[in-house]
Amino acid sequence: MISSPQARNNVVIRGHGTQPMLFAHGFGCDQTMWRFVAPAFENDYRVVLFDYVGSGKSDWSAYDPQRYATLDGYARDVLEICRELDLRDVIFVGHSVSSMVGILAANEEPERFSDLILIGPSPRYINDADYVGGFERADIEGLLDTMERNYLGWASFLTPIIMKNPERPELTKELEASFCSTDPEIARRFAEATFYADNRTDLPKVRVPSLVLQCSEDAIAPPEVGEYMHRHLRGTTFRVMEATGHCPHMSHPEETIRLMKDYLASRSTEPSPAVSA
Amino acid sequence: MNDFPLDDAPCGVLTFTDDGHIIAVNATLCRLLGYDRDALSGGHLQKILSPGGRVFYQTHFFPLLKLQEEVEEVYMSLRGQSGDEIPFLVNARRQERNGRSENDCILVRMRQRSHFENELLSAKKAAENANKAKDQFLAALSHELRTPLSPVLMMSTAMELDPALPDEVREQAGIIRHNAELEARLIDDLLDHSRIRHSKLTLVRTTVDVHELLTQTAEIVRSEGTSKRVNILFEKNARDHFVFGDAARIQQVFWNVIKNGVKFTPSGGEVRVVTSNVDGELVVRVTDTGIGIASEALPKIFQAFEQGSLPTGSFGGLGLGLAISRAIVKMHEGRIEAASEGPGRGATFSVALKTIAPPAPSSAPTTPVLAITSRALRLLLVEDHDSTREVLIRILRRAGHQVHGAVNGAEALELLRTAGPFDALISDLGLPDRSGFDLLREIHSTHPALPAIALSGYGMDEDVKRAKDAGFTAHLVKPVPFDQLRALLDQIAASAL
Repeated sequence: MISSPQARNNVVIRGHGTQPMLFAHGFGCDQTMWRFVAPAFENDYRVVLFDYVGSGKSDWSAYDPQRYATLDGYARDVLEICRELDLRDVIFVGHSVSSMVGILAANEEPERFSDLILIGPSPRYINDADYVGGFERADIEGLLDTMERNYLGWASFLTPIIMKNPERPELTKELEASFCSTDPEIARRFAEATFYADNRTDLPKVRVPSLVLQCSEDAIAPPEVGEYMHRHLRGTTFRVMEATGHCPHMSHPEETIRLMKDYLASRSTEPSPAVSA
Repeated sequence: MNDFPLDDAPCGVLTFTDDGHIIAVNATLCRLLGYDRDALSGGHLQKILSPGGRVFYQTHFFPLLKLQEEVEEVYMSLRGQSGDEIPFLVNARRQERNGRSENDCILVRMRQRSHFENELLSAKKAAENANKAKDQFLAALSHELRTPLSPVLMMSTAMELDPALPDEVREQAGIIRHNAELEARLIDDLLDHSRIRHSKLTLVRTTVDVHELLTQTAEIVRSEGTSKRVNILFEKNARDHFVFGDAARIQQVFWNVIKNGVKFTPSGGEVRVVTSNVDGELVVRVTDTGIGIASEALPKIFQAFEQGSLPTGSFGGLGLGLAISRAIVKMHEGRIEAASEGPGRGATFSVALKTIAPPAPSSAPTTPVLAITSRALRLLLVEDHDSTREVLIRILRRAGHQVHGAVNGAEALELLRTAGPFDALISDLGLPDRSGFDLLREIHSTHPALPAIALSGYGMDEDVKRAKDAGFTAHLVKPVPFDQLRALLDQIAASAL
């Protein structure tokens, strides 16, 4: 049985606005990671959240190792969701690997997207000649090894702890059911698709205006990568955050929301930015 | 910092902010990592994480901690001052303190355990690989074993039915056929067992008349009973005898249970098959007057490779029939149970299945019963295995059909041009020059309505599904069950009328 993209990717729609804002989670988690940021946009936008196949509450039976061997498969999911929901003028918000997924989708169907908001993007994680990605191949193998040991069952990843949060019991329930409950095989393949990818040549092709949020002291996307993005992405607004780490939408949601709103406000007063540059 | 309460605790203690800044660290952790406290305190977590560990921290550890407020038993590899990696088990919890969120961790070094984990991991991988290899081997083996059985079975069937042959020869051909069928059944059981173990068995459910199914099963087992002088009696007492299930699989269950009854019942004994309705269920009880089952053996008889307390093999068979039957019944949300008053006192097997309303009288028969309609068809047969092709041609011709045989896809396409039109295609799936799926696609591009029957050595459910998806009307597993092939051809003949 083939499930619709909406069911397959556990699409959740919230908010009161008309313009869609599509939030794409990063590697290792699912849509719950947007909990601290997405609600701030529900008044003005149609907030669309989803899980990649193999993450969260997606339809795991739809996982196809070939399709998801590269980020193109994930980009296809994004486009299929957009088509099924007939989303137009989409503001795509992608964290980490999803930034590249969004870029691939926007290069495929540029007319569908109005903006790309890219949080901690990196077109390539592994160093290559003069290019500084921040990692060597062996580092990624270290990650895979750590993941493997944890997914084996010693860690409590697969059985999330009930959160002591009596005033918001719905969160507990949600977490129990889904968060990070990932199949080790799928997680490994997603990690390989993410960290062995090289999307540098896709950057100059982007025609959709974008905002890049670069954290200071980001261990995954170091400043050199941010600068590379800035140089090769046309018409981008580049902002270095006070937030450190790689997940500002979780560690520093207020700053993240503020910068996103600033950007969107500047876009609405100035409808066609310098994309032609 | 000197009054750090857990400074010399027998584990590392560490507190850090959401930014990853270390605000407290105990002496034990400093010692384990080879740092002075001053070098760590106020510093960043990055300093003690390996590059891979940093990614893991950002993609898993921190998001989880933030969302769940605590994590337990997380494996993390930390980097000591000398650059070596030290494995730790980490528990962490968030606390609201000093007007901000602080993350408290305890870290237990795991040197020995880490070695064991490595060994376990590689043992697990080796076991998984061996298991995969075993499955592939079983599938390949069964395919190889089936292929030569196919012509044996068909040839012996043809000889058995040939009125021109002396009775004695026909009888001997019958023995060959019977034994070839037994062999095929053993191979099927091995395949089924492996499918069940990997949850790959799928049901094709329709409305099934269990009474009709029992009539058909009776036909199959009758000869076994007769040859052993065991009387098989049927009492169809149930008023509701329709279930929603997979006809072929349910028949397999009855066949297994009745065959078992015959097998373990001495000459002159009896196997009684009685149906009844109990609490909205259809219960089929198979009672024999055989050797019975010891009470301590009862719980084990549904396990694979078990034959009660008997050493496997003393009554023949692999001991898979009941294990497979139980799995099939379970998939139908039913129950299968065994009872016996002890050795020498016979046994009763009962199968309970939920009933459904009988189909409306106008609807088609529920199971493909052998149709009587028969019309000569023009058939294109594609099969690269020489003996199988020749035997099939012989049998099909004897059934009155006109048959053209091809050894590969190219020859089949050529015949389609020169010797057509045909009423149906019968094709092996593994042809030397292309797959049967590709061949059918090519043929359907010019002859879209041509009915097609797939033959293959693999009976995996995915194959059956793939064949259906590719446009095949039906899929038969070798050795080709001639009854089914004839029934399919009769259906094609009837629908073409």
